[in-house]
Amino acid sequence: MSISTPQASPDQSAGDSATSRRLLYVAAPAVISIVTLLALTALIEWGSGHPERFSSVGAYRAFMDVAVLARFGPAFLSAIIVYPAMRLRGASIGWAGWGAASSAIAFGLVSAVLALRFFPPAQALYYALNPMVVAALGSQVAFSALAEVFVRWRRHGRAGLRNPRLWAIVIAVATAGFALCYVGVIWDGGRHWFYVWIRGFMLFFGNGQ
Amino acid sequence: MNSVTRRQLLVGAAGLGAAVGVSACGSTTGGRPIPPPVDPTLAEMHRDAPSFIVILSDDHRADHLGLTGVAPGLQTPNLDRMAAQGVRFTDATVTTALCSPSRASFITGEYARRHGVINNLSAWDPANVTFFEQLAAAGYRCGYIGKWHMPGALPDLRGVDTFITFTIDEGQGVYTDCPLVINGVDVERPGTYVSTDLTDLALDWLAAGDPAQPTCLFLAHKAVHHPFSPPGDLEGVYADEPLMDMPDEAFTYQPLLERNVWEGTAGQLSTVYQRYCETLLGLDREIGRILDYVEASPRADDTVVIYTSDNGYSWGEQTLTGKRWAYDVSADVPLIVRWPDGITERGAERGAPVLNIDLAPTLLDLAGLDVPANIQGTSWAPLLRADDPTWRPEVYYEYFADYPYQVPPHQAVRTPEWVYIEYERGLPPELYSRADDPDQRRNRYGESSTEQIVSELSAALAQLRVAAS
Repeated sequence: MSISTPQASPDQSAGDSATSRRLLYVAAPAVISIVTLLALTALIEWGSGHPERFSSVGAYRAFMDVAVLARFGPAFLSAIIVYPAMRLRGASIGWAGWGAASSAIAFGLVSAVLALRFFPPAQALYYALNPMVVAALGSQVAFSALAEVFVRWRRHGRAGLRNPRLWAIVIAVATAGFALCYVGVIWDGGRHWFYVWIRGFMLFFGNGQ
Repeated sequence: MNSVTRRQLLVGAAGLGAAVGVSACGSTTGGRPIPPPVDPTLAEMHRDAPSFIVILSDDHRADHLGLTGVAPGLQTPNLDRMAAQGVRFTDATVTTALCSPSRASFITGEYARRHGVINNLSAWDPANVTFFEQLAAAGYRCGYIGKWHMPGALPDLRGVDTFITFTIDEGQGVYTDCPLVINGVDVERPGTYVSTDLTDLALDWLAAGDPAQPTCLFLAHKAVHHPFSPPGDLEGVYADEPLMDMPDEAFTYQPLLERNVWEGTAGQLSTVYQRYCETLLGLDREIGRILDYVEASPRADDTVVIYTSDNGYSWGEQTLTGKRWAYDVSADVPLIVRWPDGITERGAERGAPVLNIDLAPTLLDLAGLDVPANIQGTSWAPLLRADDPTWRPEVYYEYFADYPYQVPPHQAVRTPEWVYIEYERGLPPELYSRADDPDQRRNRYGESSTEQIVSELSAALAQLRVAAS
């Protein structure tokens, strides 16, 4: 994946280290989102079931509730910030899209790694396809599409929005993304997709023994 | 099998697409009743045998009865009435705290490892023998109405003259407008609430029988399983009532934790729990209709009504929402028996550890039939009259991996004093005092003061594991 460079950087010619710095600069929003996700996951793992580690039961409960809910930010919604931030730092659509999706992918991989405690590796890997992860991915893709509208407007003003092809693609991608999110976790609490996922599991692994 | 071959990958990928369509259809094959040939001699011999009504609920934890006071505002007037008229077992446990295995254990009298329904992904083996077959051969009219919930195609059920169940949502059923499979035929049920609909059908089935013929009705409810939907008139009735205090380690969004999220409890813990209690109140009302019918029937005193559940349910203990674990809140179930002709000490409680696999031999025993050798449970019929000091001192518990639930396979031995658990992976052994620590929060394994008891229970567990096989 290449990074587009709309404005030439003065130190571009300084070689690899400048390129690395620039890569980091562009990817920083995605990295921050992933680190936030990992930090929240670690805090949840550390605190869950241990009110004695807090000053009071009330403090424990408040902390856990905030941590659990906050984790959905990087997992489901970070594209709202990550995608436009990366685009405005020079990333191509594809690169920014991957960046926006990276937290959802990390969410899936973390789930799979944690599942290794309970399931053999192949089954744990399949866990990364669970409806929550698929819904998170759908959400991030949908918000990325909407964020592209913002990016065009920011760069080109209203003129940037007078593009029927842009709107067609944005609407199609956002609809597909939100549909995935809806099916994964909202429609009847996600149970229909859950059963599809489990049937897929049974095709690969039988009853899992 | 843990690894995936290329062929399996291709088959799986192709099948996944097909599964999308199939999962929404709930197509039905089987589901027909197969009444067996009746032995006229046996039937004549058992003409005066008691009738049975077994009511099996789903996910009803043992302590959630109005009479226990655990949840002060919770009302179960009809279950309390049953307990006042009969006997309540205070240490009833299932051998596997999971829907499908437990259901299969109830009707076969066998551990999961023997009947083969080891988790919610394992199909029922049509070769399994249920107590219906033996009762029907002895002249009983038997019916199965309600949740079957075992994977694979519905079987044609031997021994019953009526088989009514549902296949929608992988056999979980839905609370409203739940389509049924009535004797092998798909039937829409618009405008119905499932607990009421099943009770209506059960009462119709009871009324259609010959009063002189002993009957065995197995009425298996969806309630109080998630999504915890009470009947409309009971929505919110507990909004201002004091229910059970949540344990310290529980928190509002605990159901969204990775290990809980698939339990279908997404939302705020207290709200979901309140709906659980309201759904239970609705179920209790339907049980009251059955009791009213029985009390007005010609066989009122000679009908054994049994109420129990397939497993318990954790509501925040150890930050868990759900079942599966060997802990008391998960594995203990209510067991109440009403039988005016056979119970003299009404309102009695029995503390002997009894199991779901004991139901089948108990029914056969009460009917005066021999208990086949394949049955692993023991009849608790003698306990209806008095405590038995020779009753089993401990029970065996087993759990097999059930994807995607993050509970390692484990086995446990449970005595009236202790629960000792050995996990096959992921977690160290656990030992809890049931008397001092009913929510099983303090793991005593590894303490020097419990080394002896761990040694004894570990040895007992090894023996029980072999015996269960």
